[in-house]
Amino acid sequence: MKFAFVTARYGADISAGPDHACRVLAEQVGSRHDVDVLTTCARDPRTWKNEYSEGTDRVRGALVRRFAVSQLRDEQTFHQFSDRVMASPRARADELEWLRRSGPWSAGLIDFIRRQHKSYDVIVFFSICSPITVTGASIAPERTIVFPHLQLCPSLRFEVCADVLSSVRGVGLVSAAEGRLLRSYVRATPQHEELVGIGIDPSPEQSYPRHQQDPADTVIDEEAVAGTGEGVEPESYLAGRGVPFRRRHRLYGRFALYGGRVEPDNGCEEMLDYFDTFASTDDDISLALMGIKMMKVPEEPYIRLAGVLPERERMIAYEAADVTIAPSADDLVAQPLLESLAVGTPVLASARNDAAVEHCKRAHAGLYYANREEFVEALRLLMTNTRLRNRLGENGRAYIRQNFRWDAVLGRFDRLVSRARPR
Amino acid sequence: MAMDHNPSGRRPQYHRGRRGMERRGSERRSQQPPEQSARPSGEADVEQIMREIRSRIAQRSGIELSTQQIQDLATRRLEAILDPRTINPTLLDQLRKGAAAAPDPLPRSAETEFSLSDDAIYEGGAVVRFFRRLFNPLMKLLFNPAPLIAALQTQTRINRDAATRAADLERRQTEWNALHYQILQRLVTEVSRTSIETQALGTRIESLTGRIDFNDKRVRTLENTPAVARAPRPQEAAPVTAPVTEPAASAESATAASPAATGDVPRRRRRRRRGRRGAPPAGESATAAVASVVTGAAGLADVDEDDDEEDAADAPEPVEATTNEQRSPLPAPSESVEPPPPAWSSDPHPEVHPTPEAPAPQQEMEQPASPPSSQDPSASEN
Repeated sequence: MKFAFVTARYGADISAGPDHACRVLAEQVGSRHDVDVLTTCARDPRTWKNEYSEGTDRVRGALVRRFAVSQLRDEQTFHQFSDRVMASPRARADELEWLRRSGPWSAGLIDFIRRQHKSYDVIVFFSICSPITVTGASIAPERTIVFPHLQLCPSLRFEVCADVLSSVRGVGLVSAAEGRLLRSYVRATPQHEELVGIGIDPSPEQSYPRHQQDPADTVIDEEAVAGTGEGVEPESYLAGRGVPFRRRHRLYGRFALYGGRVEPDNGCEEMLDYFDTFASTDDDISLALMGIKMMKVPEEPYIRLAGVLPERERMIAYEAADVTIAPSADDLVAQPLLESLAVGTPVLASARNDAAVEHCKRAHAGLYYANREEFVEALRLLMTNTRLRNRLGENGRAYIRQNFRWDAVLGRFDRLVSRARPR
Repeated sequence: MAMDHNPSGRRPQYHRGRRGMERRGSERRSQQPPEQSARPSGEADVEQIMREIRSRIAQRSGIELSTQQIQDLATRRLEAILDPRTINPTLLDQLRKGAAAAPDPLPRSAETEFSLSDDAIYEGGAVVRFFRRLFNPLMKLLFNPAPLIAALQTQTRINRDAATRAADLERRQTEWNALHYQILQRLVTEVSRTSIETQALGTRIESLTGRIDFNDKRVRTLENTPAVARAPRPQEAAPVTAPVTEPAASAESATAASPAATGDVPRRRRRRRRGRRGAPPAGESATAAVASVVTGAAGLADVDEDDDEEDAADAPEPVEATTNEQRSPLPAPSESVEPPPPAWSSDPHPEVHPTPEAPAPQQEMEQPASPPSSQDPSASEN
């Protein structure tokens, strides 16, 4: 079969959101089918400026066709237009214009789909809040699948979104909460829908004790071994998994980890505020922030900035942490949460995120908080109760093995494709 | 349930009867890691753990009601606010229904209701339609129906837009109503919760105020109680080396203290039986015992018999009280008074050197360690 995966951005350096989901799925599907990725030259979602070169490229084995963005985003004009459209009753043309201005809009990409859509068996679009998806899905809805990646925002109430999701052959979801949002908020009735999810590559499970509560044991031993310059035995190396992250960031005590963009919209502001309350009663626990910093972070001794890490190091960081905090209320993919569970680290998620709470409840692998007191109490419980933490970690590993292995995800994707294919 | 038991099969400590925050102390409780939440075997039930966490938070904040009970209370309050005698009950029902039900989707029938095609003016029966078609050129010769059709189509479009707009506005109004109802409901719930918290805090403040008053009285009484009230027991004073000579003032004070001490012997025994949680050092226990005697003499021994925690928490107080008491106005030591040897002195019979200017505070501090023989005037004369 020949697939076309259409997304707004595509690159190995994009590690979150629908674009990341598109890339990892395209890489996996590409090992069994013929996959073309159709995308733009943009990298920054705030400006949609053309940064990648136009033309054909190959990223991790997938053939990528990039098209130039024909309309850059003007923030001021867009906000004025957005206020007008959102405040008053709007026509369909207004909604389309709003989506086009929010970007990225690539006339070349739409032309290509219009000309070449018959050469693909299935066209898979990612993110419904993209003008490329809304316009491109209407070209050949009979062979189109959409992964909407819904996030609660006013533009989801656009009729064009509901029309697109109702007209295409199949809709792929990443969580059950997304399905509920699709029906109750977007009010779309898809022809076929399937909870596909996102695949996680769990690191191989080891039999050694993962958490190091005592900073005087393995960390020092590792340094001593490295200092002698002799060959490191496999046992000592394995006993120190997660230690590279700890050593690099000098985290020798217990610490909680946040992975993702450090910005107020992700719930980071609330998390930092709550953690400050927690740290006032328990001062030997740190908070490591891993990701792009897009807000002012208070200069406290317990806060460590780990920066942006590649995928492998990210997993090591999750493994090194005692607890992963997932404060985002809108992230229905909950990828950091799943990655943390995959390496056996329990999570503390925001109770406003239905998908995260659902994962916690189904996996029995994490707690959730709705206010400051619950955050402090739950974090204290997770940090102090090693037995509970280990048990939650084991549950998380089992949950990911059972539901989010790539073969399971690809099986669900194939089922969706078989339903959605034109007969 | 398994979560409620620790591995030894006993109920965890927080399942005992509620003791009140003022006895346990919120800080101490919050610092305790709740290990009981971990199940000894089987899988961890996240929802159960969350329930425990929430109940702990509720207990700490003084709210003993569950979330459901608070919501019921809020519902009753909301009904009281939305009094049907002052507000139209139909509107209330609509508000409730609008909050519960999903908003209606945009009606699609408006487009078909107001549609008007070009051939609409020629519609009719088959024969009529045939003749209309037949004479259409003649009719067009007499007048032009195109503006008529255009006007009707324009009106159709206007009607359709108006219907769409009205439906949209109605939908928005329904959503606003639902939002307002939700906000109102949550506000009332939060107000209910806050009022319960306020009541709990008020009760706690009253309790703490009573405790402060009690402690004030106790301190005042201790300050006013003369030092002679202390009568150290023989076995407690035994390790202290007895001085060869005893000041007359000590003898007098001991003599004055003996009636009070004698009168409180049964009470002292009872307090001793209660025991203490930690095993204090011998010297400390002696001091505490002396203080308890003083407290009993002052008539303040009406402390609850089951108040062992309070005693444990207040353990340092008797030491301080004793010190205060010793600093209370005592008869000025005579010049012949000499400081007794320290308790750690290995010499049971130290050499006595009368010092005319013995430091008064030291002498006062050492006074509780006076041997029981100080009550004997002959001993003091020696």
